[in-house]
Amino acid sequence: MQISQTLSLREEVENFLYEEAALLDEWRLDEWADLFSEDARYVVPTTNLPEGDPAKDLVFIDDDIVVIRARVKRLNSRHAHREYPWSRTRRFISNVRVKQTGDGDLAVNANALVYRFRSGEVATYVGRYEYTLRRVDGGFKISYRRATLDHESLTEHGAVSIIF
Amino acid sequence: MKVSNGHYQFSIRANWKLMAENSTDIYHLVPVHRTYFEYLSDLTRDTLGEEAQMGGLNNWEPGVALALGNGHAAGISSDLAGRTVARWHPLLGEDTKEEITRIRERLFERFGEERAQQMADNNRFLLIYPNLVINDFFLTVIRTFDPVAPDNTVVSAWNIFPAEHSPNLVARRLDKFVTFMGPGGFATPDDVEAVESCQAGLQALEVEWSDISRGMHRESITPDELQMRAFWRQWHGNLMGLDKVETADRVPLKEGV
Repeated sequence: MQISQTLSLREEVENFLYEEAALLDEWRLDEWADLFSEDARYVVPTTNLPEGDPAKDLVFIDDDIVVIRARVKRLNSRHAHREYPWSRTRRFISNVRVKQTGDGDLAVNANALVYRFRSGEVATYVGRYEYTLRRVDGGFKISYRRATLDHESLTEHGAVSIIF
Repeated sequence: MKVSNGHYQFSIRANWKLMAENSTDIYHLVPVHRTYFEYLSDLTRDTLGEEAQMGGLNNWEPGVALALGNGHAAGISSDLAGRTVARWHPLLGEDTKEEITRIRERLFERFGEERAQQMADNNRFLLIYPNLVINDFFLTVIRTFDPVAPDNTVVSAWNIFPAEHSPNLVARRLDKFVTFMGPGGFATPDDVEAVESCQAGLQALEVEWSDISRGMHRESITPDELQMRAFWRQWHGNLMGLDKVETADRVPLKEGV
């Protein structure tokens, strides 16, 4: 009984992550921003300091909900030149692990592989995701999303102009 | 001063000299980084009200650009969105006002009004020939760009800040830095795209000249291109094996240009 409950929880989380990946690959970014709670944080540390703390270290991305929405507005415009026309992306999410935390939230870990194609070039983003998911109205809201790249530097990428 | 842990390193498919141009060019800021200025505009409207809404480079003094000799160049212009050293702006948050005001008062005590104002109220860019840039704006960045091939450049960037700053003020500076600068910022990815597009355009060999003549007939202001001319004159002089290179403009000034 314990095992089947754990499995169904993981399946529920996997479904959520797959839906999120689909929104991003389909550039449905307004819907993606709606997945976040009002107190959310989206963090991407630098490649040379994967354990970086945005309060005192330099990171690539440290967005609160205001900046998440501003990032989406920017990417939806015709003036985010690195992403207009949009790149094609394909996301593979795997190795999903789920833990209940004391306060009823879920601590989720997953591996991520994202291909980006544009202007005759291909770049792959490999890394891991850490989420804190909160149960809201039978679904989830993301209150924390940390995407850590495994690359030593952004050699073929030039930027993290997509949502990783 | 201190340098934050964590730094940026990314590659651009372009010649390194285009990064010397990009890093000190002011003219491209509003057209290329339109989405960043829209973000500032939205943010000021939503948090401070419509009367405080920021519009591009309105109320901005373009200052002067200087050829410092040996290919080095600098520019001084007025601040736009607040500086932790030391001009408080509502975008820096009410909780930083006291600390920034204290820093400002101390500058005025130590250096007198004229010099303290220069230090506190101005932004500066500095190109140390050939490939080191220190830009001191609402963020302060150390940036280098190293060629690894004629059409491939590795860019590195660091955040530098006063060691005396409180953790709160350091966090505010990091915030500004990260939102504008670097691979995940609202501005740098578009620089990468622009510079790579320039590189692709320059492959068209029919184009004989890259025009950087803006401001040649006047005392240069920062949105002019004196800084690039200084860089390229020095580079040309080095290639030609010249001992002494005049990097400043020598064109007669015209009235009213």
